[in-house]
Amino acid sequence: MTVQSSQEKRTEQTYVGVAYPRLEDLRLTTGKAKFLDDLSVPPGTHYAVILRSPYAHAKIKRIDTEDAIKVPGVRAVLTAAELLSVMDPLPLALRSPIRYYPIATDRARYAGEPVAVVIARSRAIAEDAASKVNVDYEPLQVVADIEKALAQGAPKVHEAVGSNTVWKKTFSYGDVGNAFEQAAKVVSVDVRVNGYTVPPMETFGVVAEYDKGSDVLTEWCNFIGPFTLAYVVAKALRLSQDRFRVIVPGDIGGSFGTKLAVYPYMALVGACSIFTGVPVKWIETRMEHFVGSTRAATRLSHLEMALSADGDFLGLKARITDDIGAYPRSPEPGHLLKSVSNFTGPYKISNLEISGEYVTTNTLPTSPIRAFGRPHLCIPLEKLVDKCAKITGNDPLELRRRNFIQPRDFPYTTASGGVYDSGDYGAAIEKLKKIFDLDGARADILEKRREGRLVGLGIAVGIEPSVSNMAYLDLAIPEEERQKATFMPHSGGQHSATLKIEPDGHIVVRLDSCPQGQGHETVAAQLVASVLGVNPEDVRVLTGVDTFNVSWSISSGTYASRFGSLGISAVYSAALDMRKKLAEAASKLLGVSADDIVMENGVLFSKSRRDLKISSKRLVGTVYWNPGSDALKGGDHTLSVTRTFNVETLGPATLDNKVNASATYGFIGTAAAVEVDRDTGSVSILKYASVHDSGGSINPGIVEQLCVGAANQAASHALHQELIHDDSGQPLNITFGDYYVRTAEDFFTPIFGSAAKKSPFTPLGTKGVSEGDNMTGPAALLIAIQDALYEYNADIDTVPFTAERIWSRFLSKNNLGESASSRSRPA
Amino acid sequence: MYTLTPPKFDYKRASSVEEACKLLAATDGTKVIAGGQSLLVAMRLRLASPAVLVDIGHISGLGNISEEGMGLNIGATCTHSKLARSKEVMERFPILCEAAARVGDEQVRNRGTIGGSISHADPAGNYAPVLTALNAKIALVSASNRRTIAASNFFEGPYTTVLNGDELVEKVILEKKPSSGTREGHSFMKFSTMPQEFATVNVASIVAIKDGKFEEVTVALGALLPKPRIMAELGESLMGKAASAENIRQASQELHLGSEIISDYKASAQYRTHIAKVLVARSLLTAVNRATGAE
Ligand SMILES: Cc1cc2nc3c(=O)[nH]c(=O)nc-3n(C[C@H](O)[C@H](O)[C@H](O)COP(=O)(O)OP(=O)(O)OC[C@H]3O[C@@H](n4cnc5c(N)ncnc54)[C@H](O)[C@@H]3O)c2cc1C
Repeated sequence: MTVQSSQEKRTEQTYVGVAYPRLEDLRLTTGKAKFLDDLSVPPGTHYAVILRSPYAHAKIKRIDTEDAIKVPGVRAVLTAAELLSVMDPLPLALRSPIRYYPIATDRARYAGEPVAVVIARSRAIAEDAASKVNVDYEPLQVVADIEKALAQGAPKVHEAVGSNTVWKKTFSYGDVGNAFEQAAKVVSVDVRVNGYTVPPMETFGVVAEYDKGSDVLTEWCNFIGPFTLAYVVAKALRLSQDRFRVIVPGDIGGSFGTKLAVYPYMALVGACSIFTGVPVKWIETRMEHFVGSTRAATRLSHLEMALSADGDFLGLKARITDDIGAYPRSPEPGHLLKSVSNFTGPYKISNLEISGEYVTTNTLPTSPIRAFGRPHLCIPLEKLVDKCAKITGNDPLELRRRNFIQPRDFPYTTASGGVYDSGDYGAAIEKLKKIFDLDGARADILEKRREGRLVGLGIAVGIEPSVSNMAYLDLAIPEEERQKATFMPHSGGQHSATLKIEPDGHIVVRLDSCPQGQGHETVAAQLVASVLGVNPEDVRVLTGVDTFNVSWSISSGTYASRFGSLGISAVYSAALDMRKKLAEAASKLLGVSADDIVMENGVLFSKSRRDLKISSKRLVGTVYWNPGSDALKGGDHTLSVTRTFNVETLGPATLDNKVNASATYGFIGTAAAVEVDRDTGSVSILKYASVHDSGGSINPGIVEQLCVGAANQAASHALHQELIHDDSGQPLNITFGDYYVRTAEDFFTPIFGSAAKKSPFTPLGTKGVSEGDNMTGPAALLIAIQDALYEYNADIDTVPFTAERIWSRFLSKNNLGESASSRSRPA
Repeated sequence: MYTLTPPKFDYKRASSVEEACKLLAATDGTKVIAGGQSLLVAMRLRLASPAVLVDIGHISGLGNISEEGMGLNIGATCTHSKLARSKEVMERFPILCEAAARVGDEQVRNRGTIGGSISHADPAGNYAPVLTALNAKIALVSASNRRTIAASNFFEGPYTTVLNGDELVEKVILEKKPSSGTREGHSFMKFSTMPQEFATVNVASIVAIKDGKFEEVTVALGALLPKPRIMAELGESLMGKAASAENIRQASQELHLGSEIISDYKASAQYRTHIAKVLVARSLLTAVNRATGAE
């Protein structure tokens, strides 16, 4: 680690740990922020409208663009026939003969796949002309579900693969066979998580300008990283990285992971600009977002736990089948692989077997959605643990506690190679009991049950990893290939920050992050202000990326909760370095040793002789305007520092498939009490609480806000959000009227608690936080609803658990309305 | 295709009902725009492509609520929020306020109008069952004609009404019978996954109770049927019976809805039918409690 502890102790902690009001909010809440569509565009910009396949699976026989081209104002109508002359397939993370282009070539493989792009002087003209493009389709048989895709003789999404399975692999750690032989009991569960998304308010957008003179393609886009994918786009567009400039504005109107998937459109719109020679702007519509952007995987999981007679978890076996839509695009198979390191959650389980199968279907391709793949894992795992408790007659919390990794075990290496930094899960659970008032809640439930009401309680826990170590995707590559000397392993997840003091003394921090509301400006300013002894308002923080002007790396961006752990650490390291530089310059000007210099309220002075001092303004002025002075001559006193922070545990994957996919591993415990309406199956959340281990927060207010949002998303995901399509693969709910997203009016306020355990891997001990509720929320709600429906022996096996599913699976077996008459008010 | 811009159209702002009617009669493909909450959505998706829009939103007085004897006239451009907060309506036809307050969200309620809502005739719309249960009349006007039609005859099916292309809804007429010593109660209930969503089932119940017995029972259902329907059998079966929870429960269970029930990804016909029974029971009970002062 790069930060010396002696310096750490000298830090003034003034603004660290304070719920400082967010600096960006005035701009964001008064309509003054500039989002992608608000940016001014280059002269001569044309507007793109994407024509999409109405069929989930069809041969494209002919595309007639003649009438469309004739519409005045239309510059071009481009199809794969034209665009493939300037474009190669987008590289995939797994080895496959599939060629993934951002536009359909001979076949459309999902309803919504781009087929042609109309480029015109205005959006309205392009839309007029798009209706005049005639495509001759020959509809093909559709596989829209995992079951159909895997059936014997199923139509193939990709003929070249030979089946709909594009990747299949079993990972084994420890001795699973033995564990299951020794087991006193084996408990299993099945869960299906349907495809869903967490749509942002601002849709995708790209402005691409290809400049012939310099041969540089510049793109303004609301892409959130990782910039590995900007490399993938450059590759597809046959550009070297010095000829591909990506500019992400400082404000992005929400993402929840979705905006990683802007990258195929960066390739598509970029290719259009290269081909036509004019700047091209594309803003996605809301419906397009539902049919053409991205989604989370549909997953079938079967989990089995081997238990000792005392309830110890001896081994875990999982069979996972993920439907990742029409193309296995990068970073798939991440839905599974990103979680391999922490597959066993907070439990000590040394024998683990994971069998994964990846299936293509004629549906929208997937990518990371908030808490990438972890809701998919946490829901069945916690359902399994709850069932284990029931079957062995244990209290569910006690059984968990018994199997938790203990505080003395940290840093703890999991069976699959994850290196957990720190934690005290037992203490966090105690905190959860307290803030939720578990005893009170139990009494309340008993009382309500006596009134005949269907109420229940559920608790779920989980590991909240943060930062993405690219190494995890190497697990998708066969060991034979990884063994070769020519193979280049991947690893790392670094974050950069540049801190500069301007000639007039103002402080500017440049991040390589793409925040979407996370408050990076405030947090970075708090931290720098604390180290340099100024006010947060005096620190200007610039976010967003410009690959020609910002120090960036392939992991730059804002995803995988990486700012709270790595981003903050980079900022902190840069600030400490800057303080050192100031102290050195001051020591020379004052003629004392650098160790003797302290900084307070904008003044640097000698500890031993307090009358020897210089204001930081004069100091900075001297460095800029008089570097040739006798005192400074010859030294390097430039007041600009760039620091890149990485965590040392982020190494490459091993040949026995162990990998540490994340840098820090927080913990979350969630408790929920619910009531199920006996007549309708509707669920109301009576009480909800989460305890988070973020390692400590720079701004606890921001952490709490982010978690409130996550808890509400979790409730929506658990209870009603899913992307529905019919048998022919037609997506059905593609507006906010049909795919409901909670608004401020619908929000509930979860009870929030913190049980921080500092990470030894980051200088301030912080870990990433805020995706936790997206995993434990649905799990706790599932368990609570099963508890509420105990009379029905309910086994909830499909997410979301909609009112209709609950009614038709369980309640309808009973007579209607026993309670309809005894209640005078609607739920 | 996934569009954002409406096709080209002409826009004309009418300053009187007469002028609006004249404009409507003048050119084919002319459409009225009121709050735009349904029409603009359709135009931006290019599902509607009117050649000319006649804006009636600025006609003064067209959104007024006025007394007519014991009853009320509600002007076509009266917004949902105005209706929801109107004291006059609350005093006489509180069920209409209840329905207006449950339309979408505050922004939609501030722009959307009762005339636009019923003319649009979304089967999941809130007003259709309420106006049908209230036995409201709808006044239509065109350049050459005026007519008044009962709400029960106004709606023909999903997104279709008796309105001719050159006709305008001018107002909704609500009459009130003199009280005959009964106590009245009402209830509108909307069933949806989240409160701001369109309904999968709507129920409007109006009851009159005398000496603990049903003197009058009107229940209208919406959203699960192509057009609103009065549950006449249910009313008859309860008439004269004690207004008890048990009677209500039994009658609701016996509800016959026929085979026209809408079935889609939001809710199956079976579930909608079940919810209708639950909601009818609940709303009748609420109406009875309101009538008897239990609530
Ligand atoms: C997000 C959202 C949620 C909603 N939720 C609900 C809900 O829960 N329940 C519900 O009932 N509704 C809901 N609505 C629809 C809402 O009620 C609309 O306001 C209403 O359907 C249209 O009213 P408008 O004045 O905006 O009409 P416009 O959109 O202007 O017009 C709609 C149609 O009616 C015609 N029209 C308008 N006025 C007249 C007139 N006076 N005479 C003849 N034709 C006319 C127009 O030509 C057009 O065809 C929702 C709408 C939105 C956008």
